[in-house]
Amino acid sequence: MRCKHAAKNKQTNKQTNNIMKMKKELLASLTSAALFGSVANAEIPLTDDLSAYGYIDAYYEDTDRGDNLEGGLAEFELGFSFTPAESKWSAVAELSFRDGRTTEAEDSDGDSDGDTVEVPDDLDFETVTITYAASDALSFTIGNILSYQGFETYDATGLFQYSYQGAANSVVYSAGYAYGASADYATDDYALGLWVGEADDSASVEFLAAYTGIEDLTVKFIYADDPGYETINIWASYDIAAFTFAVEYTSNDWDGTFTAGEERAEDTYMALAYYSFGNAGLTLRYSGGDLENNIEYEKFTVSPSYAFSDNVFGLLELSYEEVEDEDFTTLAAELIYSF
Amino acid sequence: MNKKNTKYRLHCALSGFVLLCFSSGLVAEQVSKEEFLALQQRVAALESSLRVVKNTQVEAIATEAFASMPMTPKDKSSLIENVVQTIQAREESANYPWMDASKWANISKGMSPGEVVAVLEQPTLNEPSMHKRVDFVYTYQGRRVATAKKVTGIVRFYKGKVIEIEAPDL
Repeated sequence: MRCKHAAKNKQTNKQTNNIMKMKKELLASLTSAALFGSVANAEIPLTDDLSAYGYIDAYYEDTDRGDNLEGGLAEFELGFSFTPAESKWSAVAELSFRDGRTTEAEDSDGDSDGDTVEVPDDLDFETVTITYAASDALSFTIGNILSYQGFETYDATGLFQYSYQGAANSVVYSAGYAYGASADYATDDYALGLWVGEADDSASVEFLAAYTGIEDLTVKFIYADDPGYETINIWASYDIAAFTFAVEYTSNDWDGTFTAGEERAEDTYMALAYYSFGNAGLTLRYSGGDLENNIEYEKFTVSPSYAFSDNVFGLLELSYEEVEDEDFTTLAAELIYSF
Repeated sequence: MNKKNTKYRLHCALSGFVLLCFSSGLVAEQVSKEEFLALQQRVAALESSLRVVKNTQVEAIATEAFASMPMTPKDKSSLIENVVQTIQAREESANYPWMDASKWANISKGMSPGEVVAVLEQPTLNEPSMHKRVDFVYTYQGRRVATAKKVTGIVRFYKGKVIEIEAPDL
């Protein structure tokens, strides 16, 4: 199943949620050069053809929900990109390291039950792909590929705030990384993508259509059909002056094999506004919807941020959430160093 | 029979002499390990000295060459400086084509990465930026050939267009 992060298991800590996060930067790198006119690869040249890149993500988080203040290294990612100048073939390999720790266990209502849970160290592949560029617009990729889904990126480096839009910092998308093959076609005005993989001896597919024909506007439609779920994800973002506005709708219709109740559809909405004051920025986000079994939630996030340099970015976040009849507040601080 | 024997002996003697000469010639061409290492060191030293034909030596050669020319001392000095500067500029142009203020003057906001590379050549670094309004950054970095001064130029892109330029101090 492509849903390797299992969105059904809503986790509440940053570390485990990182596994579930969506990452769109790679998509930009591999398939949507035309969306922004160029590939935004990091690059520390090791040889003429090989370069390295990555980031370190440190955080602290405190929720008035029974969890103690907790923090650590959310992730250390190291990637290698092999792109011979005269070749149509290229390869990317990313390794993600996550530090193990102890966190408080929660009961079915999300409350602390006094027990602790060991989150083990984790070393995992993220993007591991071989790509053939048939032309400037058309490319074919095979390997461990990131889902097309999501305005919110898989890596923390692409987020406007600390947490994800879902309840208790969960990700609302149904897919993350999975092995498969994709064909991507991207021009200045639009992009099309098709990913095909395997899940439970059946085909799993994902389709992307993106429109970028109007300057500063990006609109994406993603449809995913997997034996475990069917997902529709639509989002749009628009830059005007120092503002960035984004809206997103995600609908997951989960297969009944892992859901107790009758209602298995999830419909979530998100609206975000970001204002740039130069190096500083401020994010306001509203998200909400109904989770499986008709559990409704609302979340409001305020996140001031500051880019200390092109490589160092820090932010604070205050999130207020209401899940069914319970409400709680989360405070977080995060510092990211990219290279 | 005797004549045949004499001819045979003479032939053997001649063959032995030739063989002796040839083998002694081979022995003469052999070198000891020490000699070989010494030769190797000399070659390395020669190669090293050839490699260090730098600005001062170029200047010295130029001074010597122009000493005999019928010019005033001021003209000679100026000519030598020009020659040295030309050599330095050529070296800089070969290794750091972006170290040219006129090229940076041609970089403007709104240009694509391809257009920037067409003017300045490939950047030293191409990194994503943590600024939310910057997608990636081209960094041009190197040392001036004449002064060894480190210079850096930066071009920032957002949505495929140049949004910020920090020209190097050239």
